[in-house]
Amino acid sequence: MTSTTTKIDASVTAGVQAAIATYAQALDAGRTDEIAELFTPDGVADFPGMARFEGREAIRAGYAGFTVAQPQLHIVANTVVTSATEDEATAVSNLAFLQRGESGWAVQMVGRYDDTLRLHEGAWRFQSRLTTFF
Amino acid sequence: MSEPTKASVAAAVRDVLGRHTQAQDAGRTEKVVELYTSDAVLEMPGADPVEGYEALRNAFSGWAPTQPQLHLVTNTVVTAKSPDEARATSDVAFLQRGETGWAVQVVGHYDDTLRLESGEWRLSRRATTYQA
Repeated sequence: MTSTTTKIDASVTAGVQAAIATYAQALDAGRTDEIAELFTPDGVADFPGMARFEGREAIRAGYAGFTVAQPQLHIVANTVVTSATEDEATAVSNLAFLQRGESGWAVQMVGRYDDTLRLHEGAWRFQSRLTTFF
Repeated sequence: MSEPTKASVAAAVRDVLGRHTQAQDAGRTEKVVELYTSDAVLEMPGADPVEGYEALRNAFSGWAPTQPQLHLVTNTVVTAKSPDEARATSDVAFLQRGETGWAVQVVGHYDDTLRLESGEWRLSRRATTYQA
């Protein structure tokens, strides 16, 4: 069978879920420093065709440009931890990006996160986060 | 950043939040109320806090669904405060089906405190805020 049948340790899943959820909350609240902290020092945030930020400083500066202009919510769903060792894991998730405009809340974009996380100083951090919109 | 939360605590807390949502959207008030501690407090902007079982029962009965609805709870972060207390923050999108179909009516945030009582995790405080 494939590696997807390998049992993933519950503590890894919990740590990965925590990083993914904290990112969404921080992003929607515009807490840029907290987002940078969720990456490893050499972490990469990649939005193919749009932007790529390498390292915490670049991530902090890059996300500061994603100003929260109107109420928004990233709904993250369907997270699957696809592989894991003691200190590295990969996960895929879906996201629906909601924004409130003049006619109310609407789904603006739908996409996918492809993540590689590493256990860094006792917490799971993004080594790379690839955001793709459908 | 806080210490990683024990996986079993995070799982139990997520279970309570999931049960709450399912019971609430199905209008099963008793099932909602039993997920709270007897001294629980529910806080919402612009309203007096709802405290204790009787007040919770009245409140959730009043909010029983009148049309198909869904609280979509997402982005839950669980933090252990002690072996028998945990905090969970989540985002929530409230969907309702009206004449023109399903729509997101409100987006908000839950700030929850849960306590381990007689082996069960229960909500001792839920503060709900809405996106301005």
